[in-house]
Amino acid sequence: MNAQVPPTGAGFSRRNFLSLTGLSVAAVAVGGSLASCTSGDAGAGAAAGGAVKLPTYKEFTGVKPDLPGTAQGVQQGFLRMPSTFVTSVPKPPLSGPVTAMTETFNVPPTPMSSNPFWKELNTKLGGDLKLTIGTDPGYPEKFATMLAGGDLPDMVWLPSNQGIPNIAQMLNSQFADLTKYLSGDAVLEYPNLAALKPAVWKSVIVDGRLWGPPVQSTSMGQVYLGNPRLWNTVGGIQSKSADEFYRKAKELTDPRRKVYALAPDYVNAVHMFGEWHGAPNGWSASKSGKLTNRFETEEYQAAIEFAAKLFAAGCFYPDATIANAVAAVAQGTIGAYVEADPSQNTKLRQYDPALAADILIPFGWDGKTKPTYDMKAGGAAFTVIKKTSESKIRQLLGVLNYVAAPFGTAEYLQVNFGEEGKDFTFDSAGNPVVSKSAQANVALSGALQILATPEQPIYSMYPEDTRRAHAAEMSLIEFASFSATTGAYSNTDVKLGPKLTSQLYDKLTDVVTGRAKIGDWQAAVKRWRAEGGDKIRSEYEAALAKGVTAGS
Amino acid sequence: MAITLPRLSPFKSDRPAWKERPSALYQTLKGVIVVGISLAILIPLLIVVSTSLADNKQIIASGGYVLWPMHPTLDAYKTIFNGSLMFQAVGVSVFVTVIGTAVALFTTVTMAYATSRPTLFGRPVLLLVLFTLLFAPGLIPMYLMIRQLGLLDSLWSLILPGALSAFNFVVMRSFFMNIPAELIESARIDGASDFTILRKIVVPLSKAVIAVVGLFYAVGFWNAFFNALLYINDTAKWPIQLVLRTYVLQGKSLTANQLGITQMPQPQAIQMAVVVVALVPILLVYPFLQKHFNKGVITGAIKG
Amino acid sequence: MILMMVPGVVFLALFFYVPILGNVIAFQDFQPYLGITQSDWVGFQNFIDLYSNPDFWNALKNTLVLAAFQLVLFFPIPLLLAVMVDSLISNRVRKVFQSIVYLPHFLSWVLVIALFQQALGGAGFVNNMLRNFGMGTIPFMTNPDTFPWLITVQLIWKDSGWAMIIFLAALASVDVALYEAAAADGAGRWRRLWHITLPSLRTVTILLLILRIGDILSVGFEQFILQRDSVGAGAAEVLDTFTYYAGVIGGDWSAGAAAGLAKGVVGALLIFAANKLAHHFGEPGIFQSKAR
Repeated sequence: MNAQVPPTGAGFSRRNFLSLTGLSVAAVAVGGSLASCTSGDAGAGAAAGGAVKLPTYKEFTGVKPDLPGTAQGVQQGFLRMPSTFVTSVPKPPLSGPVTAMTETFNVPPTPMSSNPFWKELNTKLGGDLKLTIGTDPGYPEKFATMLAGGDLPDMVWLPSNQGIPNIAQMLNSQFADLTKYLSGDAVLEYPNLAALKPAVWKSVIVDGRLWGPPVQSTSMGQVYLGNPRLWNTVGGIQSKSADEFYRKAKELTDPRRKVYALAPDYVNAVHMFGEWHGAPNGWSASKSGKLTNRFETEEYQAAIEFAAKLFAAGCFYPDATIANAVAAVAQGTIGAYVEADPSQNTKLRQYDPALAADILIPFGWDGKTKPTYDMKAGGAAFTVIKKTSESKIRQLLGVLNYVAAPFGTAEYLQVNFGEEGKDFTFDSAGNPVVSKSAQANVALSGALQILATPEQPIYSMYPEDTRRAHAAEMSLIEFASFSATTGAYSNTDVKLGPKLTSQLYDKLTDVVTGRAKIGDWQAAVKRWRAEGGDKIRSEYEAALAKGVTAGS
Repeated sequence: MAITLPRLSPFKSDRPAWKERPSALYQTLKGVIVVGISLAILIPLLIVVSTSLADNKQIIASGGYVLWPMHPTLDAYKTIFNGSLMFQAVGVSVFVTVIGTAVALFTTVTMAYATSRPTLFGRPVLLLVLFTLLFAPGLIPMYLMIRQLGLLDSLWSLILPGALSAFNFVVMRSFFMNIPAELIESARIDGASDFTILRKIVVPLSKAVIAVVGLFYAVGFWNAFFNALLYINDTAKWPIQLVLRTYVLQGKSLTANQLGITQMPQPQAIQMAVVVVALVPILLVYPFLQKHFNKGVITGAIKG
Repeated sequence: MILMMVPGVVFLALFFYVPILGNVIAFQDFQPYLGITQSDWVGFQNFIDLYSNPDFWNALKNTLVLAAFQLVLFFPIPLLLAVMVDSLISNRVRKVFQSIVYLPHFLSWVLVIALFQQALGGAGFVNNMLRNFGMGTIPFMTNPDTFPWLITVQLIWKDSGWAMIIFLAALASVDVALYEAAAADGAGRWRRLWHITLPSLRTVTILLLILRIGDILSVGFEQFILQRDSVGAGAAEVLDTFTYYAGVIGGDWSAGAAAGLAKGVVGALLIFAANKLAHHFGEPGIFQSKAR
């Protein structure tokens, strides 16, 4: 905005709008929707860890999935909603009111005093759950102001720890160390939290301690989703080599008919191509404990070059941003886009109910190399508890345990849909449908899902998609790759990581779009190393040397 | 006239007596420019409105933006106004805008007038205001101040911090400085107090600038949302912009297991409906202010 | 008169001068959980960090280039528009046109850029036409070299009508008797324009120019972040986006405060200089208390 044009922000000059993003194209995920995080760099998880025993993993067996998941990360699949709902929380966890702060990507719900859905939940919890709800963007600012003002509620959701520097010190000074409540078998007192998978728990260890349960829908990582109607004309999206894929993409692209092979998310595309070359996920560790970042590898560079080749051939959509890539793919304008995880393949049905999306399984770029499939790197979000008495902590953990009740339990139904008959009804296929009049009340579930969540199953109105996604995940997990630094903490990474990574992504975009040469990328990596990359590396190496297991 | 002849020009002739008739070339040129600019603006706006009224099928088929809705539907608007949240937000925004503009105008007019004439302390106060053009307090200190004043979760936290904009102040003061000194002097000789002069002479002569500055303030209050995000926890007190933004977000973030279960209008329709809803009040207000921007408002003030 | 200044001064004290003390965090390594009293002091380190970053100079260059574009190409347009609107005879046309032309100001940049993409984007209306006629496409929105032109056109479309309002108000304050008298003396339309209309806009134009020059380092934020990937950071980086990526994005409040302070100091110098320049033209500028 131009100062010549009078300012239209009452009370705030544009200068402090610097922290207001209003972004719709953010490549750096600060919080952001759980379903659409880009693959961040290996998160700053724990410090001198290793000492901390992960919570014992106890699979929840009360509900039998149609398609079982695996402890490593494959999600359970449900072809239909169960018809009976098991109770997983026998006793209400609260004995008094509690406060919490969370975010919602939904519409804000009707306030508690006039919201029957909320009141019913409070009854089941045994006390009032008073929520302060932030929106996106704006949560880090709200959090910082409440922190500075000393107004924090009992429980606070923290977005995956980018954008909160010195998080270890902050947690130490303000929040309760929950290691003794959650480590090892202690977590079994909260069975729904024990059902959260070890890989996700590992990513929220900070400074060698546990501060709260992770909030992540799944640890499955990004995949290309494609429109079979387009790809089938060139032999199907699944390929055996990069050359084959290139040929197909070129054949598919026809600007005259407004058809382009790939959506213009260059960073994610390079991520996908990198998997074909076997590039590491975040950081990879050698046998001697030396770490290499994917940016430094030849594999990643080759991926960038491949993307540049595709761009030069016109295979990417010609605008750098597109309002709705999913819709474009469903309509046949774009062939494929990168989705956050395979279970989201159902999204295309929103635009074309008859379209079953293809999921591209990574393959070796030359037909011989072993590909990798990157699980979600970067720490998950997690919810922390202010320093307080043991009994209060137990109550609060009990609330999180309730909200994290797995799919198919009575609590899950309560949290996400409410009371049958009052808030929702079951349709003929057994799916719960929220009534129009209750939608504003049930919108609270959006905020609850951020506060705590079970691992989401693969489930939608389309059993066909569920089967496909599950089958894809079973294939993908075969070459699943985790970051070597999950569970390790580097203060420099938290502080400088976002800035350094965004510089690299800028250069990546320049090279892919032809504005810069691959030599410029190499120079940018050198700069990354000098400005913080090497320091981050040494901090992680030190953390790993102290005994945190290298990524599985 | 007993016989009505067909009018050649579609426009009423508002030409004042002293203006001569322009050449045809000039008229055409102006006409082309006016029409051209209008189209350049109206067509995209038409797209916005049409998309908000279009049905799901058409939006999907046309790639997101629609020029003319074939089967218009109000679904997007119904979705936005579902529940009481939106109506409350409208009430909040109206309150904040109306009261805020009144407070801001009062503060600005008094300050601007006082510093437009030689006044004791006038100079330092002027500098104090101008200083605010260049720097801005940070989010956290502002939050702490609001908290200190007990304004957290109160609508006044949305009104008071915006009570004086240095830009608007400078504009208004400049207009005040142009008011002829003789008018003021003669009133003073007649024994009028400063406030009376302000009320009876300065303000009536400055209707145009007060209308403009009032509009600037009103739009500022109407559009604000970030301070509500920080200062207001009670969602019943959220202003309209904040609520509207959540609808835009929501359209983007539906996860797979919610699809099909809750049928919703397409995200673009909702986003465009949001834009339209935010625009409507401004559209209603502006015509009332327009009359102050036309020639002829000030006639013979000197003679008075 | 002093009494009249009281509400404003109270407001300034509470909502500006006390909170502005918080900008002291520019000299600290501020952590919200420690507060101002307990965060470390680092002197000028934040400033040094920001300005020793090589990207800073690129951002500064872009900012100045864009500011120049905006000053030369954008600034006069609302003025010209106002003069033209003012000269429209028909009241109805004038009213309708005014009501149309200021609307785009209220659209967010996200929407404005999306609309521009619909028209000028690689898959947009114009390029589709070109393709259909067998001609090559023109990269309106992805060419870093023509980016300043694109930005200015977008700004003109979005904000001219709104910026015009203030000029209209100035024109409305002109005594109609002046026009009558001039016409009676035989002055034609162009002479009236030159001798009455334009001079009436002189004060407000110079005022706005001074303010604009003081704020010259702010050329926008959202508009640039949204188009960063289209043309590359090299062309789209301006001071405000630079500060964002270099500090704010990592939760570095101190960096943001430092950048704000630096900008304010430069702005102060610029406003001072511009004001002095205005004095040379006989204008009161923004400090003087009495007209002429």
